[in-house]
Amino acid sequence: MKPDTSRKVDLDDAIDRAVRSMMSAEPRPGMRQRVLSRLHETPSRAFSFLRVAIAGVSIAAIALAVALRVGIKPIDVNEPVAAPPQTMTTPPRQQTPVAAAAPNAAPVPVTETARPVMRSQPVARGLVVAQSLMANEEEDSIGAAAIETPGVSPELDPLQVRALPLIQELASPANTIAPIAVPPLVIPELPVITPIQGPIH
Amino acid sequence: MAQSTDCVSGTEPAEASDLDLVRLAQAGDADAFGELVERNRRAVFRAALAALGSPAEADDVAQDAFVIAYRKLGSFRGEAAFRTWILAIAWRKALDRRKSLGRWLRLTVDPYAGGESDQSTNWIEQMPESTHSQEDTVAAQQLQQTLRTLIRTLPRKLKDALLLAGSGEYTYEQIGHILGIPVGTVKWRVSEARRLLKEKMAAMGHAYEA
Repeated sequence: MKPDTSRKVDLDDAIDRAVRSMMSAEPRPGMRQRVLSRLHETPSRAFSFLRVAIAGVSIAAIALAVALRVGIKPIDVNEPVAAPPQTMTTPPRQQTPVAAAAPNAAPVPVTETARPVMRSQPVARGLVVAQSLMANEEEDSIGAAAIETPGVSPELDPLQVRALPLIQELASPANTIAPIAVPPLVIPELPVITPIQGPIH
Repeated sequence: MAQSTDCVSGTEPAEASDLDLVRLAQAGDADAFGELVERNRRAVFRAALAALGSPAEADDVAQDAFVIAYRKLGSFRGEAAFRTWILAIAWRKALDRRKSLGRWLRLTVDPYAGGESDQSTNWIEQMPESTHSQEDTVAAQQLQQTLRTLIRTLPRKLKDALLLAGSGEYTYEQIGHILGIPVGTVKWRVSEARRLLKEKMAAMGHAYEA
Protein backbone atom coordinates (compact mmCIF):
# COMPACT_ATOMS: atom_id res chain seq x y z
CA MET A 1 0.00 0.00 0.00
CA LYS A 2 1.39 3.40 -0.90
CA PRO A 3 1.79 5.93 1.91
CA ASP A 4 -0.97 8.41 2.19
CA THR A 5 0.49 11.80 1.40
CA SER A 6 -2.82 13.59 1.17
CA ARG A 7 -2.96 14.48 4.84
CA LYS A 8 -0.36 15.76 7.25
CA VAL A 9 0.28 13.85 10.42
CA ASP A 10 1.79 14.94 13.68
CA LEU A 11 4.92 12.83 13.52
CA ASP A 12 6.09 13.67 17.04
CA ASP A 13 2.85 12.27 18.38
CA ALA A 14 3.11 9.26 16.10
CA ILE A 15 6.70 8.62 17.23
CA ASP A 16 5.64 8.84 20.88
CA ARG A 17 2.88 6.30 20.29
CA ALA A 18 5.23 3.97 18.41
CA VAL A 19 7.81 4.10 21.21
CA ARG A 20 5.15 3.53 23.87
CA SER A 21 3.82 0.51 21.98
CA MET A 22 7.35 -0.92 21.75
CA MET A 23 7.89 -0.40 25.48
CA SER A 24 4.43 -1.42 26.65
CA ALA A 25 5.30 -4.98 27.66
CA GLU A 26 5.06 -5.94 31.33
CA PRO A 27 7.31 -8.27 33.31
CA ARG A 28 5.94 -11.72 33.96
CA PRO A 29 4.05 -11.97 37.24
CA GLY A 30 5.86 -13.48 40.20
CA MET A 31 9.23 -11.81 39.71
CA ARG A 32 9.51 -11.16 43.44
CA GLN A 33 9.15 -14.86 44.25
CA ARG A 34 11.49 -15.89 41.46
CA VAL A 35 14.17 -13.46 42.62
CA LEU A 36 13.80 -14.42 46.30
CA SER A 37 14.08 -18.10 45.46
CA ARG A 38 17.36 -17.43 43.65
CA LEU A 39 18.96 -15.24 46.33
CA HIS A 40 20.63 -18.03 48.23
CA GLU A 41 21.52 -20.39 45.46
CA THR A 42 25.20 -20.65 44.64
CA PRO A 43 26.23 -19.09 41.37
CA SER A 44 26.19 -21.64 38.59
CA ARG A 45 29.56 -22.53 37.17
CA ALA A 46 28.11 -24.13 34.07
CA PHE A 47 28.60 -20.98 32.06
CA SER A 48 32.24 -20.79 33.14
CA PHE A 49 32.81 -24.31 31.89
CA LEU A 50 31.09 -23.39 28.66
CA ARG A 51 33.39 -20.43 28.20
CA VAL A 52 36.45 -22.55 28.91
CA ALA A 53 35.24 -25.14 26.41
CA ILE A 54 34.65 -22.49 23.74
CA ALA A 55 38.09 -21.02 24.38
CA GLY A 56 39.68 -24.48 24.12
CA VAL A 57 37.94 -25.26 20.85
CA SER A 58 38.96 -21.87 19.45
CA ILE A 59 42.61 -22.41 20.36
CA ALA A 60 42.55 -25.90 18.83
CA ALA A 61 41.01 -24.52 15.64
CA ILE A 62 43.66 -21.81 15.41
CA ALA A 63 46.43 -24.35 16.01
CA LEU A 64 45.01 -26.60 13.30
CA ALA A 65 44.75 -23.69 10.90
CA VAL A 66 48.38 -22.73 11.57
CA ALA A 67 49.51 -26.32 11.09
CA LEU A 68 47.68 -26.57 7.79
CA ARG A 69 49.05 -23.21 6.72
CA VAL A 70 52.58 -24.46 7.35
CA GLY A 71 51.88 -27.70 5.50
CA ILE A 72 50.61 -26.00 2.35
CA LYS A 73 52.77 -22.93 2.38
CA PRO A 74 52.67 -21.28 -1.06
CA ILE A 75 55.87 -21.53 -3.03
CA ASP A 76 57.73 -18.45 -4.07
CA VAL A 77 58.86 -19.02 -7.64
CA ASN A 78 61.37 -16.19 -7.36
CA GLU A 79 63.22 -17.90 -4.52
CA PRO A 80 66.62 -19.27 -5.60
CA VAL A 81 66.60 -22.94 -6.47
CA ALA A 82 68.55 -25.13 -4.10
CA ALA A 83 69.59 -27.76 -6.62
CA PRO A 84 71.11 -27.86 -10.11
CA PRO A 85 68.51 -27.91 -12.87
CA GLN A 86 69.08 -31.42 -14.22
CA THR A 87 69.67 -33.76 -11.30
CA MET A 88 69.45 -32.90 -7.67
CA THR A 89 71.19 -34.92 -5.03
CA THR A 90 71.15 -34.20 -1.37
CA PRO A 91 74.32 -32.47 -0.25
CA PRO A 92 76.94 -34.62 1.43
CA ARG A 93 76.38 -35.01 5.13
CA GLN A 94 79.78 -33.58 5.94
CA GLN A 95 78.60 -30.21 4.69
CA THR A 96 76.08 -29.70 7.45
CA PRO A 97 76.68 -29.37 11.17
CA VAL A 98 74.06 -32.03 11.77
CA ALA A 99 75.88 -34.49 9.61
CA ALA A 100 79.10 -33.70 11.38
CA ALA A 101 77.47 -34.41 14.70
CA ALA A 102 76.23 -37.81 13.54
CA PRO A 103 78.91 -39.32 11.35
CA ASN A 104 77.56 -42.88 11.59
CA ALA A 105 74.20 -42.11 10.11
CA ALA A 106 73.85 -43.23 6.53
CA PRO A 107 73.12 -40.58 3.95
CA VAL A 108 69.74 -40.69 2.34
CA PRO A 109 70.11 -41.29 -1.37
CA VAL A 110 67.25 -39.33 -2.75
CA THR A 111 67.47 -38.00 -6.23
CA GLU A 112 65.16 -35.94 -8.27
CA THR A 113 65.32 -35.21 -11.92
CA ALA A 114 64.68 -31.84 -13.38
CA ARG A 115 61.33 -30.57 -12.36
CA PRO A 116 59.65 -27.28 -12.80
CA VAL A 117 61.29 -24.63 -10.67
CA MET A 118 58.20 -24.36 -8.49
CA ARG A 119 58.60 -27.91 -7.18
CA SER A 120 62.32 -28.17 -6.60
CA GLN A 121 62.60 -25.66 -3.78
CA PRO A 122 60.28 -27.23 -1.16
CA VAL A 123 61.53 -30.72 -1.92
CA ALA A 124 65.09 -29.58 -1.35
CA ARG A 125 64.19 -27.94 1.91
CA GLY A 126 62.22 -30.97 3.04
CA LEU A 127 65.04 -33.33 2.19
CA VAL A 128 67.63 -31.40 4.11
CA VAL A 129 65.47 -31.16 7.18
CA ALA A 130 64.33 -34.76 6.93
CA GLN A 131 67.92 -35.87 6.62
CA SER A 132 68.67 -34.07 9.82
CA LEU A 133 65.75 -35.81 11.45
CA MET A 134 67.00 -39.21 10.46
CA ALA A 135 70.28 -38.43 12.13
CA ASN A 136 68.34 -38.31 15.46
CA GLU A 137 69.39 -34.79 16.22
CA GLU A 138 67.70 -32.43 18.61
CA GLU A 139 65.02 -30.23 17.17
CA ASP A 140 66.97 -27.02 17.72
CA SER A 141 70.03 -28.29 15.91
CA ILE A 142 67.79 -29.44 13.07
CA GLY A 143 66.45 -25.94 12.74
CA ALA A 144 69.94 -24.53 12.83
CA ALA A 145 71.10 -27.00 10.21
CA ALA A 146 68.28 -26.09 7.93
CA ILE A 147 68.96 -22.42 8.30
CA GLU A 148 72.69 -22.76 7.74
CA THR A 149 72.42 -25.06 4.74
CA PRO A 150 73.32 -23.27 1.50
CA GLY A 151 70.41 -22.90 -0.84
CA VAL A 152 67.81 -23.21 1.88
CA SER A 153 65.95 -20.06 2.73
CA PRO A 154 67.21 -18.50 5.98
CA GLU A 155 63.63 -17.40 6.71
CA LEU A 156 62.72 -20.90 7.89
CA ASP A 157 60.66 -20.04 10.91
CA PRO A 158 60.09 -22.07 14.10
CA LEU A 159 56.61 -23.09 12.98
CA GLN A 160 58.09 -24.76 9.95
CA VAL A 161 60.60 -26.52 12.15
CA ARG A 162 57.75 -27.83 14.27
CA ALA A 163 56.11 -29.22 11.18
CA LEU A 164 59.05 -31.54 10.68
CA PRO A 165 57.09 -34.76 11.02
CA LEU A 166 55.04 -33.71 8.03
CA ILE A 167 58.16 -32.91 6.04
CA GLN A 168 59.71 -36.20 7.11
CA GLU A 169 56.72 -38.01 5.70
CA LEU A 170 57.10 -36.02 2.50
CA ALA A 171 60.72 -37.11 2.20
CA SER A 172 60.09 -40.79 2.84
CA PRO A 173 61.14 -43.23 0.06
CA ALA A 174 57.48 -43.86 -0.77
CA ASN A 175 57.20 -40.26 -1.81
CA THR A 176 60.42 -40.12 -3.76
CA ILE A 177 59.84 -38.78 -7.23
CA ALA A 178 61.01 -41.07 -9.98
CA PRO A 179 63.45 -39.63 -12.51
CA ILE A 180 61.87 -38.27 -15.63
CA ALA A 181 63.82 -37.95 -18.80
CA VAL A 182 63.31 -34.57 -20.31
CA PRO A 183 64.41 -34.24 -23.94
CA PRO A 184 66.22 -31.06 -24.83
CA LEU A 185 64.07 -28.35 -26.23
CA VAL A 186 64.48 -28.04 -29.98
CA ILE A 187 63.30 -24.89 -31.62
CA PRO A 188 62.55 -25.46 -35.29
CA GLU A 189 63.72 -22.88 -37.70
CA LEU A 190 60.96 -20.58 -38.77
CA PRO A 191 60.45 -19.84 -42.45
CA VAL A 192 61.56 -16.44 -43.55
CA ILE A 193 58.60 -14.27 -44.32
CA THR A 194 59.10 -11.81 -47.09
CA PRO A 195 56.91 -8.73 -47.07
CA ILE A 196 54.34 -8.52 -49.82
CA GLN A 197 55.10 -5.83 -52.26
CA GLY A 198 52.57 -4.08 -54.40
CA PRO A 199 48.84 -3.61 -53.90
CA ILE A 200 46.83 -6.29 -52.10
CA HIS A 201 43.72 -7.44 -53.98
CA MET B 1 7.31 8.19 37.31
CA ALA B 2 5.47 4.95 37.39
CA GLN B 3 5.95 2.83 40.45
CA SER B 4 4.47 -0.45 41.36
CA THR B 5 1.97 0.01 44.17
CA ASP B 6 0.67 -3.50 44.49
CA CYS B 7 1.69 -6.32 46.74
CA VAL B 8 3.19 -4.41 49.66
CA SER B 9 3.99 -6.81 52.44
CA GLY B 10 1.78 -6.54 55.50
CA THR B 11 4.62 -6.22 57.97
CA GLU B 12 6.47 -3.55 55.95
CA PRO B 13 5.30 0.02 56.29
CA ALA B 14 4.12 1.19 52.86
CA GLU B 15 5.94 4.49 53.19
CA ALA B 16 9.35 3.02 53.96
CA SER B 17 11.91 4.55 51.65
CA ASP B 18 14.06 2.50 49.32
CA LEU B 19 17.06 3.39 51.47
CA ASP B 20 15.35 2.05 54.61
CA LEU B 21 14.58 -1.17 52.77
CA VAL B 22 18.16 -1.41 51.56
CA ARG B 23 19.42 -1.08 55.15
CA LEU B 24 17.05 -3.85 56.24
CA ALA B 25 18.12 -6.02 53.32
CA GLN B 26 21.78 -5.41 54.17
CA ALA B 27 20.99 -6.69 57.65
CA GLY B 28 19.67 -9.90 56.08
CA ASP B 29 15.97 -9.14 55.69
CA ALA B 30 15.06 -10.90 52.44
CA ASP B 31 11.48 -9.62 52.60
CA ALA B 32 12.74 -6.05 52.52
CA PHE B 33 14.68 -6.88 49.40
CA GLY B 34 11.54 -8.49 47.99
CA GLU B 35 9.78 -5.18 48.49
CA LEU B 36 12.55 -3.42 46.61
CA VAL B 37 12.09 -5.89 43.77
CA GLU B 38 8.38 -5.22 43.73
CA ARG B 39 8.84 -1.47 43.61
CA ASN B 40 11.44 -1.45 40.87
CA ARG B 41 10.67 -4.48 38.76
CA ARG B 42 8.87 -2.61 36.00
CA ALA B 43 11.56 0.07 35.64
CA VAL B 44 14.30 -2.56 35.57
CA PHE B 45 12.37 -4.71 33.12
CA ARG B 46 11.76 -1.83 30.74
CA ALA B 47 15.39 -0.73 30.77
CA ALA B 48 16.33 -4.25 29.72
CA LEU B 49 13.51 -4.22 27.16
CA ALA B 50 14.87 -1.02 25.63
CA ALA B 51 18.25 -2.68 25.16
CA LEU B 52 17.06 -6.09 24.00
CA GLY B 53 13.64 -5.60 22.42
CA SER B 54 12.48 -8.98 23.67
CA PRO B 55 10.16 -9.21 26.72
CA ALA B 56 11.32 -12.74 27.54
CA GLU B 57 14.99 -11.78 27.50
CA ALA B 58 14.26 -8.57 29.39
CA ASP B 59 12.53 -10.60 32.12
CA ASP B 60 15.55 -12.87 32.48
CA VAL B 61 17.92 -9.93 32.63
CA ALA B 62 15.77 -8.13 35.20
CA GLN B 63 15.83 -11.21 37.44
CA ASP B 64 19.58 -11.56 37.06
CA ALA B 65 20.05 -7.87 37.83
CA PHE B 66 18.14 -8.17 41.11
CA VAL B 67 20.10 -11.25 42.14
CA ILE B 68 23.40 -9.50 41.36
CA ALA B 69 22.23 -6.42 43.24
CA TYR B 70 21.44 -8.53 46.32
CA ARG B 71 24.91 -10.07 46.25
CA LYS B 72 26.51 -6.63 45.88
CA LEU B 73 24.24 -4.94 48.38
CA GLY B 74 27.12 -4.60 50.83
CA SER B 75 28.85 -2.21 48.43
CA PHE B 76 25.79 0.05 48.12
CA ARG B 77 26.57 3.22 50.09
CA GLY B 78 23.38 5.13 49.36
CA GLU B 79 25.13 7.93 47.45
CA ALA B 80 22.69 7.40 44.57
CA ALA B 81 19.11 6.20 44.71
CA PHE B 82 18.63 2.44 44.80
CA ARG B 83 16.62 2.64 41.58
CA THR B 84 19.43 4.41 39.75
CA TRP B 85 21.90 1.83 41.04
CA ILE B 86 19.82 -1.20 40.04
CA LEU B 87 19.04 0.35 36.65
CA ALA B 88 22.75 0.71 35.93
CA ILE B 89 23.30 -2.95 36.86
CA ALA B 90 20.40 -4.07 34.68
CA TRP B 91 21.58 -1.98 31.75
CA ARG B 92 25.10 -3.44 31.89
CA LYS B 93 23.65 -6.92 32.11
CA ALA B 94 21.38 -6.25 29.14
CA LEU B 95 24.27 -4.91 27.08
CA ASP B 96 26.30 -8.03 27.90
CA ARG B 97 23.43 -10.11 26.66
CA ARG B 98 22.97 -7.98 23.56
CA LYS B 99 26.62 -8.58 22.66
CA SER B 100 26.66 -12.25 23.59
CA LEU B 101 27.58 -14.86 21.03
CA GLY B 102 24.70 -17.10 22.08
CA ARG B 103 22.13 -14.40 21.41
CA TRP B 104 23.65 -13.67 18.03
CA LEU B 105 23.45 -17.35 17.14
CA ARG B 106 19.82 -17.56 18.30
CA LEU B 107 18.84 -14.53 16.26
CA THR B 108 20.69 -15.92 13.25
CA VAL B 109 18.74 -19.16 13.46
CA ASP B 110 15.43 -17.51 14.32
CA PRO B 111 15.21 -13.79 13.50
CA TYR B 112 12.02 -13.47 15.57
CA ALA B 113 13.64 -14.87 18.70
CA GLY B 114 14.63 -11.33 19.66
CA GLY B 115 10.99 -10.45 20.04
CA GLU B 116 11.27 -7.55 17.66
CA SER B 117 8.69 -8.82 15.26
CA ASP B 118 5.83 -6.70 14.10
CA GLN B 119 3.45 -9.04 15.87
CA SER B 120 3.76 -6.98 19.06
CA THR B 121 1.00 -4.68 17.92
CA ASN B 122 -1.63 -3.99 20.53
CA TRP B 123 -4.75 -4.72 18.51
CA ILE B 124 -7.13 -3.51 21.19
CA GLU B 125 -5.63 -0.04 20.92
CA GLN B 126 -6.06 -0.21 17.20
CA MET B 127 -9.73 -1.10 17.13
CA PRO B 128 -11.52 1.51 15.03
CA GLU B 129 -13.11 4.23 17.08
CA SER B 130 -16.55 5.43 16.13
CA THR B 131 -15.19 8.85 15.11
CA HIS B 132 -12.56 7.38 12.79
CA SER B 133 -13.18 5.79 9.46
CA GLN B 134 -11.75 2.38 8.76
CA GLU B 135 -9.42 3.98 6.24
CA ASP B 136 -7.99 6.28 8.91
CA THR B 137 -7.43 3.33 11.20
CA VAL B 138 -5.61 1.35 8.55
CA ALA B 139 -3.46 4.36 7.69
CA ALA B 140 -2.60 4.88 11.37
CA GLN B 141 -1.72 1.22 11.74
CA GLN B 142 0.52 1.38 8.73
CA LEU B 143 2.21 4.52 10.02
CA GLN B 144 2.85 2.92 13.40
CA GLN B 145 4.27 -0.19 11.81
CA THR B 146 6.55 1.89 9.57
CA LEU B 147 7.73 3.93 12.54
CA ARG B 148 8.50 0.85 14.63
CA THR B 149 10.55 -0.55 11.78
CA LEU B 150 12.42 2.73 11.37
CA ILE B 151 13.08 2.99 15.12
CA ARG B 152 14.70 -0.46 15.04
CA THR B 153 17.00 0.68 12.25
CA LEU B 154 18.25 3.73 14.15
CA PRO B 155 21.84 3.73 15.41
CA ARG B 156 21.94 1.98 18.77
CA LYS B 157 22.94 5.02 20.79
CA LEU B 158 20.04 7.03 19.42
CA LYS B 159 17.58 4.17 19.70
CA ASP B 160 18.51 3.44 23.32
CA ALA B 161 18.02 7.07 24.34
CA LEU B 162 14.75 7.39 22.43
CA LEU B 163 13.23 4.20 23.88
CA LEU B 164 14.30 4.96 27.44
CA ALA B 165 12.96 8.51 27.22
CA GLY B 166 9.78 7.44 25.47
CA SER B 167 8.95 4.73 27.98
CA GLY B 168 7.93 7.33 30.55
CA GLU B 169 9.68 5.39 33.33
CA TYR B 170 12.80 7.49 33.76
CA THR B 171 13.93 11.06 34.12
CA TYR B 172 16.63 12.41 31.84
CA GLU B 173 19.01 12.31 34.82
CA GLN B 174 18.32 8.60 35.32
CA ILE B 175 18.78 7.93 31.61
CA GLY B 176 22.08 9.79 31.71
CA HIS B 177 23.18 7.65 34.65
CA ILE B 178 22.08 4.44 32.93
CA LEU B 179 23.89 5.28 29.71
CA GLY B 180 26.84 6.92 31.44
CA ILE B 181 26.48 10.21 29.55
CA PRO B 182 25.55 13.79 30.53
CA VAL B 183 21.91 14.86 30.50
CA GLY B 184 22.58 17.24 27.60
CA THR B 185 23.84 14.35 25.50
CA VAL B 186 20.73 12.34 26.33
CA LYS B 187 18.52 15.19 25.14
CA TRP B 188 20.56 15.61 21.97
CA ARG B 189 20.33 11.91 21.18
CA VAL B 190 16.57 11.87 21.63
CA SER B 191 16.21 14.95 19.46
CA GLU B 192 18.54 13.51 16.82
CA ALA B 193 16.60 10.24 16.78
CA ARG B 194 13.37 12.13 16.17
CA ARG B 195 14.97 14.22 13.45
CA LEU B 196 16.26 11.13 11.67
CA LEU B 197 12.87 9.44 11.88
CA LYS B 198 11.13 12.48 10.42
CA GLU B 199 13.71 12.69 7.68
CA LYS B 200 13.18 9.06 6.75
CA MET B 201 9.42 9.41 6.88
CA ALA B 202 9.61 12.45 4.61
CA ALA B 203 11.78 10.50 2.20
CA MET B 204 9.07 7.83 2.14
CA GLY B 205 6.50 10.40 1.12
CA HIS B 206 4.84 11.10 4.47
CA ALA B 207 4.02 14.76 4.90
CA TYR B 208 3.94 15.95 8.49
CA GLU B 209 3.14 19.03 10.47
CA ALA B 210 6.19 21.09 11.36
